[in-house]
Amino acid sequence: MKLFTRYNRINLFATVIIFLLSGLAFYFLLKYVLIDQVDEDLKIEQHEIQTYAGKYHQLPEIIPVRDQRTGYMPVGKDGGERQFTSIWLKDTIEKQPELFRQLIFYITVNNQCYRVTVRKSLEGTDDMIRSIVTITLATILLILVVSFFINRLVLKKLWQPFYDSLAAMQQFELGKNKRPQFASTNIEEFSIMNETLSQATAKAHEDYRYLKEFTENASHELQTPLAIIRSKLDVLIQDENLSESQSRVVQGAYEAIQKLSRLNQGLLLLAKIENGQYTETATINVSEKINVKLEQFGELTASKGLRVTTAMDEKAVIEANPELFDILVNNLLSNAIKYTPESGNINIIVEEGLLEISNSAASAALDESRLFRRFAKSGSAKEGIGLGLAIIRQAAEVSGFETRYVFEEEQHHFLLITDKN
Amino acid sequence: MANDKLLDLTRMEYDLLLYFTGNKNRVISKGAMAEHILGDNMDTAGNYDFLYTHIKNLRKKLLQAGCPDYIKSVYGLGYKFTV
Repeated sequence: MKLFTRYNRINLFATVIIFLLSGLAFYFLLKYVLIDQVDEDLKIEQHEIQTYAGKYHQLPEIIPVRDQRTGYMPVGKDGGERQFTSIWLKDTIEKQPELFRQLIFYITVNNQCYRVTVRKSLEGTDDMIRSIVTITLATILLILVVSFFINRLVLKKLWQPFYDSLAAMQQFELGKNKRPQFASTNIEEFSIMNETLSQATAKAHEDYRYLKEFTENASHELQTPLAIIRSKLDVLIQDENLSESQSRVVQGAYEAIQKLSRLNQGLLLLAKIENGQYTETATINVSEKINVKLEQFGELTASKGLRVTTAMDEKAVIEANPELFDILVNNLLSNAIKYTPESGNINIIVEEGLLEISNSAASAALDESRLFRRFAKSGSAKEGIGLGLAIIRQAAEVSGFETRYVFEEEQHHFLLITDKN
Repeated sequence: MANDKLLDLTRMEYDLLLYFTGNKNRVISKGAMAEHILGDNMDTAGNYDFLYTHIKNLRKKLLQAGCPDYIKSVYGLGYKFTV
């Protein structure tokens, strides 16, 4: 949910509650004031009757008026204080129930006590209240609608620098030279945020560059001592006086050094890819490249008894750096061959914009979120340097391709999407 | 050609023979041989089984061509092409 949508909802909810409460209060206050007004009129009527009776010693004649009804009833004794009540009575003409305000008081004329009832219709008052409430509700609704749209527009405009910064940050990728550009804003908070983000991204970029340089330099520096160790071990294994146990130790050391060398080369390759050393592109026929690679791996696949099937669009071409694409295809195929159990299947599909290499699975589905990370090996991973898939992803990203992994029908599927459209 | 006979070798067997002749009378580790044949794809094989197969086949073809058994196993280390 967007911030201003949430703000608008809260704002709208609070406004509606406040308006409803104030509307109710307004309604009851208005009703009280208007009834009080009618009560005052009834008091005047009482006063007029009492004045008339005092002056002429008789009750005034009842004149029928639509909105007012007066009645006298002789009673045995005075009923006490006057009483104001509201009462529903039938309209004499329309025969509909109608609300009246009623005043009952007692008056003694010529030693006869009378109960006087004066009623005034509240229909006019109700009409007025209804009109006022309708106008008030309409005004509230109008205010709410206008406030909603104004808030929406104003908030959208106010928060625009934030969304611009967010979009710039979403484009930001460590390792790429393009730094996020933040538009200048005169809102202080956003200006501080942009400045902080600029500093943070610059720091991250610098740290990343130092780290990359360190990895690259360390890899370069390691090459010479590794080569020396290898050559020394090579000399050592020529010694015919080595015992069996010594030979095993030397062989172990030799293999470890060999693995370290490969790891080093892998890291150097990654550094080269990241540094953008593979920029020149050419049009490459994908199926031709696959066929060349399959021939290179032919003896290896045959020795494992693997069945390789292909479904390739021979016209499918891509624009990529030839060396990088060679590394990509090589690693994908090498990976498939390595992890396919003996006598398993490897299927290759080449379409315009897609290269898919799938192989029989010796294990369950792999965790895609970790799969393409450096040194992230699955539990069943055989001895390897743990950089193969990281190199694939890096090479794909640099080439503008996308890599995906899918586990389906007991097969690992590695997809290289060369045309994201 | 071996003893005037044409040897029918696979690419890997040929690579192995070249590597052996270039390092004759030297102990060559299995790792070095695998690396020479597969290069960057050394990990693809997963183990040295493919190497044993190819060396066995190469040895057999050399013997069939009338050559002495040049390829000697060096226990725990690798092989030696003795001439």
